[in-house]
Amino acid sequence: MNARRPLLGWLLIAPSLIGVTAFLILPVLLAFVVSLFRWDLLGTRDFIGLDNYASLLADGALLNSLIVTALFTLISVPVSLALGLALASQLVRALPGSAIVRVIVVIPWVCAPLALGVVWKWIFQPSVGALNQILGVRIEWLTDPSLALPAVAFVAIWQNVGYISLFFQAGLSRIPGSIYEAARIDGAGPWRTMRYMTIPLLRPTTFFLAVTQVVASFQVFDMVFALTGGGPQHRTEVIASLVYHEAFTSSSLGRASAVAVILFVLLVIITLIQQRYFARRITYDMS
Amino acid sequence: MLKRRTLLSSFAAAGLLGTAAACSPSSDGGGDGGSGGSDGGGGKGSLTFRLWDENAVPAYEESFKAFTADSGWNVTIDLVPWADYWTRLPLDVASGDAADVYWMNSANYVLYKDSEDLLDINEVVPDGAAQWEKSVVDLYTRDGGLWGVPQIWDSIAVFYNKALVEEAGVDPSALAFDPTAETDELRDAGKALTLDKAGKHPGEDGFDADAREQFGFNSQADRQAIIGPMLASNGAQWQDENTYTFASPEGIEAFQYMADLVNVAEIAPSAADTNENGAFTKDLFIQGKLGLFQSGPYNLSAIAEGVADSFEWALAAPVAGPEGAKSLVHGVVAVGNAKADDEQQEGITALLTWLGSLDGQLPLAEKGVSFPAHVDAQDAFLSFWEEKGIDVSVFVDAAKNAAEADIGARANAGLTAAIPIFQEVFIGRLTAEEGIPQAQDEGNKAMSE
Repeated sequence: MNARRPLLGWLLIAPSLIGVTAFLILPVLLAFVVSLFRWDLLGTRDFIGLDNYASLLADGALLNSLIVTALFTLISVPVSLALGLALASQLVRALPGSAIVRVIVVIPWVCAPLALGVVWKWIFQPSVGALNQILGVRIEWLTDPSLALPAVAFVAIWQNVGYISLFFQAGLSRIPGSIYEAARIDGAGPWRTMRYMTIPLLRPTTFFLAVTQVVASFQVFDMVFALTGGGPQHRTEVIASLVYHEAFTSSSLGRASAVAVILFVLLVIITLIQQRYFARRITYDMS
Repeated sequence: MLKRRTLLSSFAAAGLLGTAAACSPSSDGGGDGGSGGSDGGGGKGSLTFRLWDENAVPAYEESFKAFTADSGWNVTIDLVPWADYWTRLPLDVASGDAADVYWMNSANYVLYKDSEDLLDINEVVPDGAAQWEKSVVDLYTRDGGLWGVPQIWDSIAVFYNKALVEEAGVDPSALAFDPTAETDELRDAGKALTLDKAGKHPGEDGFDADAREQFGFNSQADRQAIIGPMLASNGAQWQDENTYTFASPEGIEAFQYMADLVNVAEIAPSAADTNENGAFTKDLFIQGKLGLFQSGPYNLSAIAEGVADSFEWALAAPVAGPEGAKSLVHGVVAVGNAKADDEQQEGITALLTWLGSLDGQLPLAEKGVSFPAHVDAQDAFLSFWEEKGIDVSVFVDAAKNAAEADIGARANAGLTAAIPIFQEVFIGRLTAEEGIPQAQDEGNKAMSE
């Protein structure tokens, strides 16, 4: 009986294992292999070793994309988490209309990022865009190099806040009311309650959201593509956008694969760091 | 049986996209048409035909019905929007899934020709070239071969709003520019046509550029309609073989002139608008807020439908420079898939021959899609627009004095690298002296990689 158990286990996970191997592990390995070649997809493949990596490091495009992506992440993730928590703390109170608001704030997250990018591009237009018309100004949101990235990050935050608040609402609803009652009796104000009770108790939720949002931010592409196409002056050329341009406008599949591999390695490192950071922190069992 | 090349390219694409996560704007192939064609009549087999312009689909449907009746081959039309076309084509060609016959442009064909994916039309349709528009044949002739059957072509002219130019006292048939002069006909016309909310023209006391309600001319970072013609008209060469040469004194002068129309003369809309939305000036023209709009026949239908009866418009020759009026001529060809299965090759030859014939191209002309490449079909296109009260013969005249189009195996990559820097010059953050040599270097670097 026991001898058959491992076999049964392998059989049960086989469909998932085949899927992960065929559509994740194998393509990643092949992307690494392709990154060692000069290849435009149509012509012959020339093995060039690590030259694609060397040329990427030398020409500055990769470094620029890494900086842009890091800045985008640094703006969008903390702000999204903070606003998501603030929104959740209000929605969890079941005020009149909360149910409708809960649905409304999630709608942007449900929409296709490319479609949202197109809509926001129109809203941001300098002369005829809705935003400038409402504000009565003429600001070049997407063509001013200093404003383009914050504008793109704003759209990402707007899109994600509702989704993040859903998780925080679930986390907040699991915190027993008696804990807050005890804190109130001990004289803790709203800030101290939030700082020393709510935030620590939400650590597992925050960890999950931080990891997924950082990974999503490093992979952001379609919305940025629709909004700016990577411009102006490459100020919004996020790393996935660089992969796209290398592959499909420069026809350099090897260099594109090299960027993709670097992105993959970076995300693994960031996730491991986050995991270690949160693993050292105390979590609380509220059951 | 799956070929090794097919497997590798498919996995490479999947790995690339999987690792970078959802890079392709149309990963599910959304937007495909594929519903048109000529099914049911023929018994020899089925062919596939891919194109990017949905306006051309009804014309090809009509054309392929006759082809099927004549040849016995069915044709399925696969519509892939322009935004996805050049992303999907290399993947499909590399994986062996390309259509039997597909549309191609001059900036991309050399890449496919060099990888031996295209049939030489001189061998497939011998003596065909004599019946097609010469400028398009020249564009696709390279290394002794002709690499596509010319389908449609376009040149450049000035669309003008009749009421606005009459009111401003502008003669659209005499538009000219001279960067070395204090002023010229184009700047004078633009100034007379541009108005702010208070009805003031550029240069007048109290003129508010941010409150402009009417514009003179569409100077913008548009390679085909503005940059190409203006550079050539000023005597600048665009490229020499696979190397850009536009950063010559004449080129820099022309670029600075175009940027100054936006930022100094203030007769063209801000590049903040046009860099972001290339169709911004077309929309202004349709709204009756732009007097002179230099563009090509590819905008005829949109303008005719958009303007409808709201005002009268007509066409004039493109703006002339010191070297006269030059027009960029672009042509679209149908290429034959050299790597399609052997049993398809007979049908591909038949289809390419049909697509190059007068009967094959007449629907393109009669439905007003664009100028057909078959010279004998062009009268039908002129008649189509004549019935609508528009004389489009100016495009034919303009094509006789063509400027250089982009060409080369990596022309697309080069242009993609250079255009963002052109945009910086148009918006005024870089002078032409600073930006254009930089654009040339970046473009040449991208073309040589």
